[in-house]
Amino acid sequence: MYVGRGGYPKLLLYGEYRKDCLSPSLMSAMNLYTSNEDILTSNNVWWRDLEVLPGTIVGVRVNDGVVIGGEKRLTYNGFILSRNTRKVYPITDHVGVGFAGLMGDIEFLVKILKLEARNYRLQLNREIKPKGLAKILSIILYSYKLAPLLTEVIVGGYSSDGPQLFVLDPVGSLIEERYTALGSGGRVAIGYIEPRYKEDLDIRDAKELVINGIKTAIERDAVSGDGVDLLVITSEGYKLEEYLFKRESKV
Amino acid sequence: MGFGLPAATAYDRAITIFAPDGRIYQVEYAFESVRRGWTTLGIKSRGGAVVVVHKKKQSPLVDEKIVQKIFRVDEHIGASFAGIASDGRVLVDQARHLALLHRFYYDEPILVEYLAKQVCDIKQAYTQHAGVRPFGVAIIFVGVDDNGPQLYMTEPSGRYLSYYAVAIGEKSGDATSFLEKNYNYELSLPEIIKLGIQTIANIAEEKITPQSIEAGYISVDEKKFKIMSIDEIKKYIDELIKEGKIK
Repeated sequence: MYVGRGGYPKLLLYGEYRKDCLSPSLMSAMNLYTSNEDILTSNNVWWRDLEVLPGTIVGVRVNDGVVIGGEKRLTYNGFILSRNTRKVYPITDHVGVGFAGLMGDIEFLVKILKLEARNYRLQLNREIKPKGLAKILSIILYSYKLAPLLTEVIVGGYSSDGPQLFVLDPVGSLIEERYTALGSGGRVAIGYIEPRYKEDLDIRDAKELVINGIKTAIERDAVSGDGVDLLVITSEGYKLEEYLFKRESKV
Repeated sequence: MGFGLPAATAYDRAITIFAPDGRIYQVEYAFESVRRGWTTLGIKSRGGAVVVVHKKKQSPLVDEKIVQKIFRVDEHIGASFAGIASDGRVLVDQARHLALLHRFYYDEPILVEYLAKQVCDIKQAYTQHAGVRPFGVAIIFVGVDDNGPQLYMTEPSGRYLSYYAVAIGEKSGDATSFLEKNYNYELSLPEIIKLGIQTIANIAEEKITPQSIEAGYISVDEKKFKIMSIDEIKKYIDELIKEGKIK
């Protein structure tokens, strides 16, 4: 708790905003990650060149649940580093996230979110809702506003509020959506998904919609490919599924 | 040891010292502050939860309209306390801050139990650190959250318990036995408001007036804590008189 030498928790003063934005358990973890003053003061920083985040991630909310899908390719300057990365992660039994962006940032955020979700479970004796987790994530992302974590995130899940889907940009805007596609392949995938989306699709059709949306993106986006990971969340919990697209050479 | 003092006084010099029988005297004295406070009670039922306070006459020069004993902590949580009023006020401010922070972090109203727990974390720390004294106040939190109507009482030691109905302060024993006889979880919200006022009327030495009662309630349907106006309290007192339940 907060009580110690100083006595009471601090008020939310602007000067201390970033520190106060983090929950106590998070603050200790954040201390591992200090920002570089040179980056903060320069106008011409490396990450400003990275306007479109590599990868494709798709999320769809239907009446029975939420489907989040991501492709499996990891690239670096056009070179394929890996064909076997995962971009969708369950955080609790009923809440999961999907990312497009830098793998290091993604893994960092997943660790922090799992920590927050488990802390919530221990302290409040219930599971965190998708909205609660999305809000925490929004606060974390905003706290890195001057040197952002380069990720676009989908948070989805099922709670007493029903199925919910949220989208966050690198500095933590929090928007509720019914369907979305993010990353460099997202602009292609959304063109497939938008005209075919219906709220009353069943889970099987929603899965198919997500897979086909990502397949469409892979056809035209060079930094997406190799397969699809699906995270399906219903009232019963989550399921992770993997589909690999690797083609055998005929030569 | 003891420098010639009787054994009991030697162990109440500092709060960090146990008496040989395992008690911490300063904490027990804090309970005594609560016992001397104004009678305060909380009741919850299927319909919601209420807190009722009996405001005792102070000096005629005190403007009693402004003396406030019931506080809104958050939209869905109210609080009242018995004991040292300044300690209570500071802790209620802490509770408000914690409730605000929870909304900020998670975009959802805080659970009443979690709020009571966090306030008790503060109280507990003040039973263990050197150079401080315990909070001489017991706080009742009432509210409605995802788990339904809630009523918690926090003690100066940092312990908290969930109750159906609880009384603290002066004559809390009498109030508790009255509540035990008349309480039922199926009562509606107006019925538990009446039960609260009736309990106070039963144990008070002087006649109660709308000015000497302060009450707040929250209904399961609306989930908004409200502090009652003098007119509202008057209405309930008049009804109770008409029903012959109080004089």
